[in-house]
Amino acid sequence: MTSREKILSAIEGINLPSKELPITPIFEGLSEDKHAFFFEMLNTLGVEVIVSDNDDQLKDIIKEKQQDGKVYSSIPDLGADDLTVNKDEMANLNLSVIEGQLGVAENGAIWVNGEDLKHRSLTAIASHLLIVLPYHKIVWNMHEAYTYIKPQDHGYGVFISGPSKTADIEQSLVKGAHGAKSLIVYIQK
Amino acid sequence: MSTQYKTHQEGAKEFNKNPDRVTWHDKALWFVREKRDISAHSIPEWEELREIASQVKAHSLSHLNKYLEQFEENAKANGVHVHWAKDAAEHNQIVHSILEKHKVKNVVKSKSMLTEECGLNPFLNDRGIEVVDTDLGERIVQLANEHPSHIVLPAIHKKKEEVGELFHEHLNTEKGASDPTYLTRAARTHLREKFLNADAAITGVNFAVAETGGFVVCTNEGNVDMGANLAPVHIACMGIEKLIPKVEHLGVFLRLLARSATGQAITTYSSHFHRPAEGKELHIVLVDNGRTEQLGREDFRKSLNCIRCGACMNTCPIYRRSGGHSYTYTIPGPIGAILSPGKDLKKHSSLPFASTLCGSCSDVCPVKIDIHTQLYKWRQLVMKETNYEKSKQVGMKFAGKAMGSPSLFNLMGKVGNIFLKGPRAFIYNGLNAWGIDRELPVPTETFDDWFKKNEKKNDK
Repeated sequence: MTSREKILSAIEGINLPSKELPITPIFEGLSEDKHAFFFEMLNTLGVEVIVSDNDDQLKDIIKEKQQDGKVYSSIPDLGADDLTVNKDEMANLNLSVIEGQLGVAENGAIWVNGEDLKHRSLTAIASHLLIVLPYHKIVWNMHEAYTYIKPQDHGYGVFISGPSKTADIEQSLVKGAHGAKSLIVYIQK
Repeated sequence: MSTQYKTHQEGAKEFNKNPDRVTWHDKALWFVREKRDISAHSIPEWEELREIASQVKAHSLSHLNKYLEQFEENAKANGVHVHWAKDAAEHNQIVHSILEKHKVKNVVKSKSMLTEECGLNPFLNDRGIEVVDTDLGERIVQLANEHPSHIVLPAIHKKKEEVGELFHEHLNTEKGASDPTYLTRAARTHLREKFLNADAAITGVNFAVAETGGFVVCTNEGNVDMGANLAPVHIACMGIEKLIPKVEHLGVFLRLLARSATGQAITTYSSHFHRPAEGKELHIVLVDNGRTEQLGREDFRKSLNCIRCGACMNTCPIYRRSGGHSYTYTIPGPIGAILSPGKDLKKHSSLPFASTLCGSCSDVCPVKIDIHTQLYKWRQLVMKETNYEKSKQVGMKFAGKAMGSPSLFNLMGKVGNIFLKGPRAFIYNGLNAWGIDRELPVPTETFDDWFKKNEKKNDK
């Protein structure tokens, strides 16, 4: 018998009585204004929030970050650098600009599709991260989020909530563990 | 894998040799517990979520066969290699054979309690493969040649000065430096090099979804997204109880997990993997290692609900004051104390007794495991089936008799009073297991005498 068969037959042998699968409600939001709640949440997470109806400020940020290193952008025509998928080059990126598909107000998480990026590690490898998110793509909570996000459609996808962090040394919060040291969320109206 | 102590009492005694450290440890964990409370109380549907999560787990376990097969089928269709391991040894062999096939020398690993449970690191080290733990806390304990003392906060027992010393020795940080930001930056630089040069990445799994064949891993540091996305081979190791039926259930569990663990609304990265990147390989190892046995134990089945948040540790008055290393099992605290006896009742016989049975662990558990009830039930089995604390068994039997007979009970109360007032050697000797590590109170009278006196007073 293979281990697969052994495990499956062991479970079969227990013959557990069937338990019903409960229905998961969507649950209502805490705040009437999910945008305000989302921005507040991002502030708490130490995220810089920029709300704009054009690209000007975004281009300025890219230019500024280019003074200290290269900048990748999954959105074309913003003046970012050409990137070869070379580990060392990626590791020295100063800023990675990526597109967010959906923001979640209750926890400040933003969904990012892996295939939108030149390389999957661009969600974590650059010193700083900027996520561009359309203003209308914000939902209240995770239940609602999963009615829009189909993770199975993406080889890799991730909810990112704030800059990377750790509190593993005496519970002191430090931003910038392995992923981005800072996060800017650029909300496009 | 186990820690160095034979019993929890032995480890706890060692930890309590330094009362200042005990107080510091206790406060650090209580702080996390308080953050959990604030976070949980801000969600009006919290209790409902716990109930749903508990029911989803019960349902998944009652159809585990179906979901395992469904998961395998979907994962394979996604181009993922699926492996099955009956026990720890087979798990280690499977991982090793994948690494061998790819001639892997350097592995980066993200936090996985399962690989700790299976003793994967030493197994691979013995075969010439370097495994670097990339979670900061895990890296700290790895450099110190220790095991995690907590499943979410692996280095919670270490002071920053100790981390500074360790980093000075291994990462060339300045001598005497203990600033957490400085030390974290040093680890970032050190581990970046490891990420960039890794031939393979091993990660744990928080949730695996049967209907899609994919899985989710949660971190704050981003080590999974660095490791798994940079290395050509990604091996994800999971216990078979991590399965949930549908994507919609991720919403329930991701809302509960981080809030219960650290009080955060969600972890920084909740990474979903369904297919390998082009030209790369993705493997999943499904591990039993005693889980089907536990599933067969009606009284203890529910322990498989566990999502490894660590809330039961943070709230436990015993864990906080004895430290994670005092437990004889990889997973410490209340949950470790109900998971371990099923693996080796004799070896872990002291763990169900590392509790006051106050029930706080059950109250904070996001998947409603009846932890304190299970602790109590394991105690019954330990006393029946092992030689654990035989000296107490005689005393307990006698106490049972005395309590069943009012006249004997009164007599014992009076005798006891005399003994307690007498020379210390009457009570604090090798024959009395209750006199060890415990100062007994010296009463002025028995309750019976007190009651008779006061009853008369009230009559007046």
